[in-house]
Amino acid sequence: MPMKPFFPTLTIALCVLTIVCLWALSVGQFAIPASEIFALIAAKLGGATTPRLAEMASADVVLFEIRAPRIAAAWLVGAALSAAGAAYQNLFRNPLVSPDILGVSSGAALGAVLGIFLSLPIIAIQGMAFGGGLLAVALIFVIGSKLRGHDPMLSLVLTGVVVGSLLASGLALLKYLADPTNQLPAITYWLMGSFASVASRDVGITALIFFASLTPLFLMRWRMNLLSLPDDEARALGLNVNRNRLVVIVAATLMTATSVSLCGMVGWVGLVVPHAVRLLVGAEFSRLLPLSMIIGGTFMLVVDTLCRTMTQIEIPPGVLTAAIGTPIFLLLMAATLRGKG
Amino acid sequence: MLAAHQLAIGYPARIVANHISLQLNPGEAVAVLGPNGSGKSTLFRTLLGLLPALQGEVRLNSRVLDALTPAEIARHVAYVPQVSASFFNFSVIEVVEMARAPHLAWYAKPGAFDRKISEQALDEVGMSSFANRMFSSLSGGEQQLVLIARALAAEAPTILLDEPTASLDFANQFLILDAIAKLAANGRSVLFTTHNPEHALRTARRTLTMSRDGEVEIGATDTILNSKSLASLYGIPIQLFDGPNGRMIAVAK
Repeated sequence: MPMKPFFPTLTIALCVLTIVCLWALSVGQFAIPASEIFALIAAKLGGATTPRLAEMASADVVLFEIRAPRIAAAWLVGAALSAAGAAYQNLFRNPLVSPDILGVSSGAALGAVLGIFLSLPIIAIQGMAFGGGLLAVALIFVIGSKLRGHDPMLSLVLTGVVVGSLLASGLALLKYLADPTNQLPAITYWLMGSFASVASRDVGITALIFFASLTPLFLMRWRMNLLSLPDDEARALGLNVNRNRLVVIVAATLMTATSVSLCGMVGWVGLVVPHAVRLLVGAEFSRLLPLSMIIGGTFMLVVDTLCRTMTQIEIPPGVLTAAIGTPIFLLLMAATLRGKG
Repeated sequence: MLAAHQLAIGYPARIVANHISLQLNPGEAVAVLGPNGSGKSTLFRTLLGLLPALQGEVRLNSRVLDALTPAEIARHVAYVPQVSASFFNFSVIEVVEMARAPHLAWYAKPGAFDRKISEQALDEVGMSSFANRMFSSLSGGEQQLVLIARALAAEAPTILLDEPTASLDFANQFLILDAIAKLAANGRSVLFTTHNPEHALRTARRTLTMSRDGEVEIGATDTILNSKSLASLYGIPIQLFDGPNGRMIAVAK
């Protein structure tokens, strides 16, 4: 088996992303043809103006006030969940884990819902989500270390299920306590995951935290490969395993938390995308990370655009990612367990 | 140079072996022989600084191992693990380049210089033509050679190999033993564990034996390994015979 090509795959992924962006900008209740999109972008950049610009005032609002922030949000969430998933998979040496399987998303959701429940500002909700995510990872580490000696692949997945259901009971309690006329619907719709009500200011904050937590992952992108080796082997290669692991956990959990506090729980993306990308370009993390982000962002953007255009009412994107992700997860799990036996 | 002095190894609750004194000299291969559970892996983990010494000390170029960072140790002592299935698939050259980590800053990727060192390491074990293959698609013997190349790419003067011939077919075992002999002939200090007395007799100038009740002996291989010592080490009657070309053959009765 020869080495897998990286740059051709990267080029194709970027082309697909560009096309999907154009498609997402143009379709919807108010369709905007590609020619108008180019004209409006050119005008925005201070380039050539056409006499038709005045006629396109409403298209201008739809494009820049509604669709562009939503597209940026969808892309960021897909990229963040995929990057976090790739990092967790490396860290736990397990291709079947992801922010949602590990219960990190549930922990972040619990924190964020508590923030909504207490009517905190967005930055505090982000902080609560981060705290909840870290709590979930800590629980998984403690329980996982007690289960040492058993099949690590399955025990980790099962631990995530158990921790996830514990956190879900916390969520249920908060929903029960929430004001049924205004808080409960907000929490419920938000938990299902939606990009409909994303404000451009929130996108800005999310992007900032996303790139801040991406920086250590990007700098450590080569060293991440060593973290996927058995502990003794990584340490004998000169790696301070515990310190590196802590940095990666904080970065990946922060990414998960920001995406959860922006649009609620969107499952499966963080599992399926890095796993599929690993099949495309191999496990080397400095290739896996950028491509997972691009493809994960594109995937999320396709899902969100389908969700808002397929039917008269909007479908929550979490519903569609689960419908696509569950069968793929089962296939991947079967293939992985078969490969081991 | 790696040296252990009056070393006690094991875990706080259980001492595995005591009074181990061993110095690894350049150009010499030393074998560690002992039954399962005699503490060979524990000895390796202690010599690599992964497990603290219970008593005594390990010194690297006269500095105590505990005082060194993992990267400092890795630049001087390279470890060749047993071949095991990995869930993540890297190419051969990517596996070898991992050994450059202790030479690089935490944010750096291997560059052209590291690539050259890694290619030379693959060349030294005769695996150059496999550089761009996926590691998991190689045979057990080939994978073990790549892991040896990885140890070479660390440019460490001392190399520790954990059961390098285990789980290999008959021909590949001798391929690896020849590779070990070559490492020593090129001036490195080599320590390897094995389950086969014939491998120690064939490749190691000195041998360290570890019995299950914690007794440790070290000396020239051909004096320390004889029918009597092997029988007491493994607890079954074993006889050594002279084979062709000065090779020794161990037979269990």
